[in-house]
Amino acid sequence: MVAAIPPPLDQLVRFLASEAFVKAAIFPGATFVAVLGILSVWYERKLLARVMLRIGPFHVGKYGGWLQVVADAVKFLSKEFIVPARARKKLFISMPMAALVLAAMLFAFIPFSEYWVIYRSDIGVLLAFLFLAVSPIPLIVAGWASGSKYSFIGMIRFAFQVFAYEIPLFLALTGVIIAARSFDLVEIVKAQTPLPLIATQVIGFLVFFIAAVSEAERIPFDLPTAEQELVEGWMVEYGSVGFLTIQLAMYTKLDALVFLTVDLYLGGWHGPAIPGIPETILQPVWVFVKFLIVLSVVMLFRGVYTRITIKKILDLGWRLLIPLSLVNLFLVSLTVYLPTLAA
Amino acid sequence: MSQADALIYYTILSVLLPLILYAANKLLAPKRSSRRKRLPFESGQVPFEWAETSFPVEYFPYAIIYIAYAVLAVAVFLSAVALVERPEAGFNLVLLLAVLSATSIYAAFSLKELPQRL
Repeated sequence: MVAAIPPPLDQLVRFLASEAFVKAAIFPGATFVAVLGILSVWYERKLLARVMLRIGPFHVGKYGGWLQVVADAVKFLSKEFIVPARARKKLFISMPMAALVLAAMLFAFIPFSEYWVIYRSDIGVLLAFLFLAVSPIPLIVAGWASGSKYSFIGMIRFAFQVFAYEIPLFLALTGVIIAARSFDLVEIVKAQTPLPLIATQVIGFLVFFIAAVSEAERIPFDLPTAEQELVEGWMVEYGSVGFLTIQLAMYTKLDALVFLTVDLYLGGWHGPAIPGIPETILQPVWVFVKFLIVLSVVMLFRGVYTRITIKKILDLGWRLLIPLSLVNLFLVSLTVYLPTLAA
Repeated sequence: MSQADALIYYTILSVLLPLILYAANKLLAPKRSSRRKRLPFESGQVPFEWAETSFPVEYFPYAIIYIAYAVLAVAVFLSAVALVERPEAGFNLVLLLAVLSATSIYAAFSLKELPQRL
């Protein structure tokens, strides 16, 4: 087919059909990430509406108002981008972009099967954690650069919350690395063949999951952006494309964290085989099914929980999750060490 | 090689995405800035100047503890890496983690007594 195309064009076609470009641009790359970010907003609105006995969006788009999200995005894009008088202009404009890029970069290391991963690395877990650890910094700077009292208070709350929950996240991750005895995310999923890691590390899973919900700033941990008291907290000065980019970044980060939870604890692409469907297609489907279940749980929190106070958030992080994650590590190191004694 | 290529393409595409959004905004949005629009948000009030007094940073003790725990997490992580290589040398790590979990539980109970404001 390619041979029939004249010389300058066939190079292009070959490039577009190459494995690297398909992975980077379509699945699990840019198109997938962008569409997933938009659709998870729609999914959340529909799910919350069901919890609150409403219908949710239904006017725009034939099925369940799914085009409403696109309409909202277009509306945001056609609004004037106002930079407040006291804001540091360069930082104020560039930080939402940085937030989106860092959140999207997480997807480069998340495997959907042994084949479907953009960049498989020996230290994939560490690379993913690197981007996870850096991702709050643009948001903190964005709140700071806004030059407004509300965003400043929201920024300080956000910084405290992030500090409190990054260490439990890291310690829980260490437990996974010890149990799977690898830093490669693909190897970690492969190590979960008979039983997913959640079976042996229930405490670790709980710590990681709670810390991940907090990292993504979801209710009950959404104090920094509290819509009612702090009027969106650190992003109060953002409108138009800035707000859109921040929202997209937040949802992309949430999706990436849920995918990480699935890969680290819930057995990734391991699932019962369905006859007739090849493995290369079935494996990403299993990851996606597990992703949808975990995502629904996280989104249900918003429907059923209230926002907790900052003292309780910090207490939970410092006084419960850190000791728990250390105890989990202790148990995991015992399960690795004791078999060597017997041998 | 195709792996590194994929990473490079993906990085370029994820940088392009926000740039496209900003460019679309530049094309679509009106540009009529005024002094009133550029006022910072203060719940509909006329904004007043920043207070010259010091801002009381609450929960400051927690920030101090962060420094201790961050160093500690790195130490634990490094010893855990050793366990990946040689599981038979795991007794040291078991000992270290036993002490650490016990002390962190003690610290958790004593943290309750700390004042939240300095």
